[in-house]
Amino acid sequence: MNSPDGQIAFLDALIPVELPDTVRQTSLGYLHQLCLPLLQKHQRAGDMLNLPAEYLSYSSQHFPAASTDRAAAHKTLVSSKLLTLSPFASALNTPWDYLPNAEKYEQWLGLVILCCCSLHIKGDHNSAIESALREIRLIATSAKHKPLLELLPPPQDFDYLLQLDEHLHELRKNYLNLPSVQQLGLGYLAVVIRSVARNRKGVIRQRGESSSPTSVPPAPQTAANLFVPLVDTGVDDPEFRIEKLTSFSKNSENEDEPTTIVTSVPYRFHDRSLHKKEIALQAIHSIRLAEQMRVRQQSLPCSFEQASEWDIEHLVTHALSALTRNDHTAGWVLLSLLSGRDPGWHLANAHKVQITIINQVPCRTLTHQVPAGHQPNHLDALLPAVLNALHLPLPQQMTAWVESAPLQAPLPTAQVLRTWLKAINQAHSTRLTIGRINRYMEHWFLNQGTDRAVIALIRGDTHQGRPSLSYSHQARTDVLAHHYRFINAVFDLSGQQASLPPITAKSGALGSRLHLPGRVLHNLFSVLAQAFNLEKNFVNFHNKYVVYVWALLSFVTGHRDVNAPMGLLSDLNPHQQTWWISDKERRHGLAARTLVVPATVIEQVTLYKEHLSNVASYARLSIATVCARCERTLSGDENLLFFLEENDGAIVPVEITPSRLTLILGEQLPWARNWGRHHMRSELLRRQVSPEVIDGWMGHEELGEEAMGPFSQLGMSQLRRVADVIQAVLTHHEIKALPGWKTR
Amino acid sequence: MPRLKQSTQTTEITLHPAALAAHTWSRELHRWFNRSALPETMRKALAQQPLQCIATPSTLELYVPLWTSVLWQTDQPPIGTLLVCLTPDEISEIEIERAAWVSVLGEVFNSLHPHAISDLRDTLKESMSHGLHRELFNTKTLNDKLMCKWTGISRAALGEQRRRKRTQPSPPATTQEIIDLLNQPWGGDE
Repeated sequence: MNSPDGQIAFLDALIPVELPDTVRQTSLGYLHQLCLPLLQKHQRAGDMLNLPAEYLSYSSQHFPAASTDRAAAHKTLVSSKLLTLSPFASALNTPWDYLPNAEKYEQWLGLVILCCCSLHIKGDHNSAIESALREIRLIATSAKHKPLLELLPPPQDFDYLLQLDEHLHELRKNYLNLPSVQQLGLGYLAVVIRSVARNRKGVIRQRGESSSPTSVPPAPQTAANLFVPLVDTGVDDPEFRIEKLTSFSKNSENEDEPTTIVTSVPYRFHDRSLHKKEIALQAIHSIRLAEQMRVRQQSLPCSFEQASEWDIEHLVTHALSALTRNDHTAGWVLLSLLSGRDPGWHLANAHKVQITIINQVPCRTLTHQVPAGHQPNHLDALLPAVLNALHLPLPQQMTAWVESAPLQAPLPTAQVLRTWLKAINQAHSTRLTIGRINRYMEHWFLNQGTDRAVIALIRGDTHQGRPSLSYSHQARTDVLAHHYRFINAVFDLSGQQASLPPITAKSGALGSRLHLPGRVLHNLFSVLAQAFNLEKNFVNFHNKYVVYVWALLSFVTGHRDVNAPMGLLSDLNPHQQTWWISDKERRHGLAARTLVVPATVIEQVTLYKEHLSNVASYARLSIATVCARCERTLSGDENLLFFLEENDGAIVPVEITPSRLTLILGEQLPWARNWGRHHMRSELLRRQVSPEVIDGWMGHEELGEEAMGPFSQLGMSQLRRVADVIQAVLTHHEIKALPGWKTR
Repeated sequence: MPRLKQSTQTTEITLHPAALAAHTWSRELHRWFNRSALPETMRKALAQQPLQCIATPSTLELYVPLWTSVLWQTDQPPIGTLLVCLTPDEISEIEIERAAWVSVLGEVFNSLHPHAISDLRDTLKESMSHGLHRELFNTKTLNDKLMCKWTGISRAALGEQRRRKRTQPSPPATTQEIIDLLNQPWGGDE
């Protein structure tokens, strides 16, 4: 846009070449003289930043001997009936010297022309531009319009266009009895000022299809474009939405690669408040947003948008002081800080959160239930029990507030909360907002390396929002220890004591029940091994052996219960001991991950390959389909694991599906088939593996949390350590790689 | 090119010198089944396996298979036995020796596991027709008495094999059995 070509195109559009040269020269010269200083002044104030100053100075360089006789140029326009050809040229060449307040008119002329230039670049404002330029011209030339100039304020009295816009708005409301010509005229001028000041979008008016025979037919669609909402942008404002553009080629099944080159990823922002902001603020807002998204990609908590320790220190001090005066709002603000939730959330989730006194201790009680927390009664002897409620003690200072049954009383409104915080912000130069207070807890925990599932548990999130919550078997004391650490840290900032009750050693856990005791884990694999060892029929043997191999591999890799588990043999790199796992699709693509697998897995795969070779030789002359399938599996052309089924007397290989697994497993696995993910997550946590690595291992990565993303500091070495830990689990529980069918 | 013949009354087959060592070794092996105790029909049928020989001007020198000669009723194969004949130019002495050894070793490597004798009778009964049973074994079905006669093991041993097979643990069938198995104490439990 800043190229000379762009400048020429801009000026040619304003002052068309069809105009006589003298008129063009006069217009361009006056545009430069009148508007350039004015533009520089407005740009210093942050207005009209989309209009490059070079565009206006261009005329002086190319028309050094420009004519300055605007009166003659105006006469030419009138006599040649060219007044409507270029509203800009007509306005610029309007004679105004004889007006009584000529100086004020010139200021308005310059401002209106500048605004129109800015809107011209923005586009879709043609009607407003033409009307405003016509009005400013008529003010100088028409007696009916002339009185309007008296009403208009001197533009130089206003530092910002927004101020002028508000003044004009008031003016229009106050002068409703003006003649309609002047009312309309005032409106035309106000519209261009407002559109520039508030960065309004233009309006495209389209006629019906039948009346636009020359309209360009829509381009053939080769790809369907779809904006997909991004999950959890971290922005509190419900009016703010970010979407990502994804393209789905209709012919993708016939293409190896997309035919269109996509050089960037387009995002679409919806911000209803954006049009109220100046363009400079919009720019700052966009930069901040881009930074926020980029920082989130670094797998690190976003810090610059959080409350600081200074903020929290004064918040706690002020809130505790206010609590002694029975300030209802102070209790809510403190609860927001300590629960990571705003007051409204507590009311909306009254079915699962209670704020009560328990054993003389103020408590926030959360009901926590996940699907795997419910198991049939006959499994009680095998699986650990879990609690459905988590009592999180609150500081002793909140006792009186909790006793006042705050959930029964009306909640403080957002305005009340803002007013309450404003006092602290003004007194201590803090920048507290209710959003920053709510987010502080998560921010603090993440900086401490706390498991996101624990944070979600304390905040009262649902397992749908944080999948790792479903898989976790959390010791109650561990969760409480995190909660206590946070409260004590926050109170320490302000030199206060939270006086929390001591954590009792009473056992109890929350979340999933599928963290198997050692004996059950050992016995489970023994039962699966025994099942195929007892089989003499090679079809049954194969199926039950495949079940054992599936159980071992999916347990060790945390594979989801999907069709064709473990993929192809070629997904395994036996030299690097890595396995490419693709068991889920999410957002805009695969959620595939590469894992390091322990030595037992490599051994088991080697034995499984031997099994397939033996089955192939056994079936060579009699069951050709089975033999061929074994060979294709060994060559990595078909899925690694498959069952054999009898179909009309013939034995045929079939792919593994969850329903077929259920059929073959029978009663041998009395709980969910993805139990391995549950057990392993809890086990790895127990063995001190970093929660972020575990989330990466399980494929629980949301935006900005990718363990192997481009900005991640995690690497394969962490996954190697995970593999070592898993190998230790296998060794401890005597879970071994076992051989399969032997053709003797 | 090998030529096909059928043995006649005048056919004279001798052992090829290169196959002598393999034949001698094979002859001394102590086999699980007593072949001479097999029914005559069975022995005749086995004796009629095609033979590979080297044709010389005066005789046919046998080198593969070597085990059938034990079952011949005379010093010559049964009349009508298919003979695959090669000339000394078509196969070397070394190749003959190798083929002879592979033949006798193949007999060993294809042998039955001694613990599967009872299985042999039970599975053969299911797989082979009654007609063939009667023709080859002179009995309606292969029975333990014959098995004991051929193999020299006692009927008690066969019974023991079956008992062992019957008492092999069966996979747990009910949910409660599974739960009991999973709940068994284990030394490594904490």
